[in-house]
Amino acid sequence: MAQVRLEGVSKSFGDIEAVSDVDLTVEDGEFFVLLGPSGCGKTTTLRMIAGLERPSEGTIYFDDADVTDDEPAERDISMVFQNYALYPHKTVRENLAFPLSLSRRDYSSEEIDSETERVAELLEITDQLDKHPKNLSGGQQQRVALGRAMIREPMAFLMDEPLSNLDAKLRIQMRSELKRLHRKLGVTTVYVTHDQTEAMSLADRICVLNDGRVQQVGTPHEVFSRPRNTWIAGFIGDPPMNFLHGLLERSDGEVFVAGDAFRYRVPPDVVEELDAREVAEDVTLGIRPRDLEVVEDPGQDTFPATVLTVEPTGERSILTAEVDGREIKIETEPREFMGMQGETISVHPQKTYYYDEADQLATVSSAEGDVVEAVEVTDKHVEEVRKDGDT
Amino acid sequence: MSETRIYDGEKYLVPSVIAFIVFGIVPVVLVIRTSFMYWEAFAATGPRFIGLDNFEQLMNSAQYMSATGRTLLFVGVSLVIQMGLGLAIALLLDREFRGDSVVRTLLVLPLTIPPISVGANWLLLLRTDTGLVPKMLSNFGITFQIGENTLDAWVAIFLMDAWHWTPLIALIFLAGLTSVPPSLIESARIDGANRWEIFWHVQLPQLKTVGVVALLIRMMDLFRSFDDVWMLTSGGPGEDTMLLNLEIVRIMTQQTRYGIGAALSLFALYLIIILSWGLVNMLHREVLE
Repeated sequence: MAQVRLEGVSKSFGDIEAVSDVDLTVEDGEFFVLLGPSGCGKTTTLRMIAGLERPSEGTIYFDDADVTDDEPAERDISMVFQNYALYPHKTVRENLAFPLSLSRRDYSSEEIDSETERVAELLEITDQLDKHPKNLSGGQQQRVALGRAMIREPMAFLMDEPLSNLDAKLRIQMRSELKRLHRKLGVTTVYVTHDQTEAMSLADRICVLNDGRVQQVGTPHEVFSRPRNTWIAGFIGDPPMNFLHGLLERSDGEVFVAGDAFRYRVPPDVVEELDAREVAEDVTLGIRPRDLEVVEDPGQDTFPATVLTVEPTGERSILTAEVDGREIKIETEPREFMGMQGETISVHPQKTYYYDEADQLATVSSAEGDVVEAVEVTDKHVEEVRKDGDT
Repeated sequence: MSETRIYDGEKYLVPSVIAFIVFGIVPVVLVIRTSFMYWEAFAATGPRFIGLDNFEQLMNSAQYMSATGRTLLFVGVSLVIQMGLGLAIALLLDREFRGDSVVRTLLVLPLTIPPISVGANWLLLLRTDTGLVPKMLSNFGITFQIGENTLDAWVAIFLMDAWHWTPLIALIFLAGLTSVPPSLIESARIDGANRWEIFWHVQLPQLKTVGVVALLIRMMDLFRSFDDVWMLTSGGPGEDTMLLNLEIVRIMTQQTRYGIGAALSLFALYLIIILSWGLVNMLHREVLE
């Protein structure tokens, strides 16, 4: 087990810079997730840690040893690939045993047998040991791939989207399994995924990457509740955060964010922060769909929004609405909003994020709007829906 | 409407079925028929059925059986040379390097040359009197005479065929190597496998299927060899490189003994069928496993 440290690591392929100037420290025993969209450089970063790619610049340390130029085999790591990379001509047993048979430490065949059995038991694949990989289900193949990585006791596990080939249900099951295994073994794990839910649920800390650059490193909670720029804010959370551009206006000791078609009163605690940080006129207001509430009456704390579409999903409904020429999403209780297309409603944000001109997070309003009580709109809307249905 | 359409398709098959019968079935039936006949162009008696006499005669003929033996030797040794060399070339080319696509294109060139031209070119190179190769070798005190020395003639044939067809094997193996998922090799590298261990434990097992396919294609093709060998050695010196096909052509065109020629052709066909059948079985096992 080891700490993994990247200092100023960059990687170019021809003219394309896949990873630029990444500094990271993965603590000993940590479950560390590299999260980003495809092409963000997360897999390249992982492959550099594995030694499968050599950085164009920068240094990689395992604990305090510089491993930048070491071959993969010298790094004592193990890796789980997206397609599992099981050897199709070998049985499960042979696949599991392969890393031991290659090991510089000479394992006796009894040792190999007992280790294979131990890992098979840990992953509950004992009765699959004599099958070939292609006769296993995706989930079982996944377990074999994990087993092959775990049979040695490496300095670190590297995992490249290991769950993305599984169906949704199995993915959730394997996710908790992975968490259990990590708790049990406590080996430093670097895990690559584009799936934010996976990242949030597995990680001790997340590193969000975009365009080969580190956007933010933090615990899942930190990344979610204080996304450092609008890109991260838009990437994490589903549906993504809404953004409205506006100018700060001050009158009578109150501060408003005003766009062409809205004027929103900034909560007092936010005003202090904005002042303290000397935020200029231009601001971007970020509001998560689930923090938006449909209210009866327009007020200084609401926006007028025109409903475009309604998508009921069972547990909730997603409204798409237009505010100031921009589309926003609103997550609501699963009320009947179906007949409301084209109508203008008032929405009240309960929590708002403020980004300055340089696209940096200035402040976040403390949760729960302290103004304007939400009004029950159900009955009225249901009536309207009925009316629409009749005509 | 829709019911009649289903049967419409069949009439479009008629031309190809006719072609298949005329050019495929009929000649084979004729050869089989001829093989049961005593039929020589300049014999006193005309063609007549003699049952299996032709087959009995060729089985007991030292001449034909040694032609069979030479053919098996030619096929066997050529397969070993070409499979080995082809795999080696494929491994060398299975990486990115400057001009890799040029090299791969050049590799295909021999495959585009007709065997008769290959035979002619090699003859020009290897002729004892004016050939470049014997001339150069004589500078080192080595005599190389394909018309006189049996071993030299065999070496010439093996080299010529390897030059002509090894690229095909190399391309097949290269395709096989390319289809091995890179992650298998990377996974082995991470687990500490060296170049040789990766080849032995990861790549080679993945090449089994394409290997058997290549073996099958080459084997059938080698059995069919005629024109280039005919051009280069004409079966000489003496009859030392007289393969089955050369023998058949000699019987049919020079000796005009059609009956025994047909029997020998069928014998060669059976040989190919039996050997191919073994390989196809192997392939099936491989695929089913």
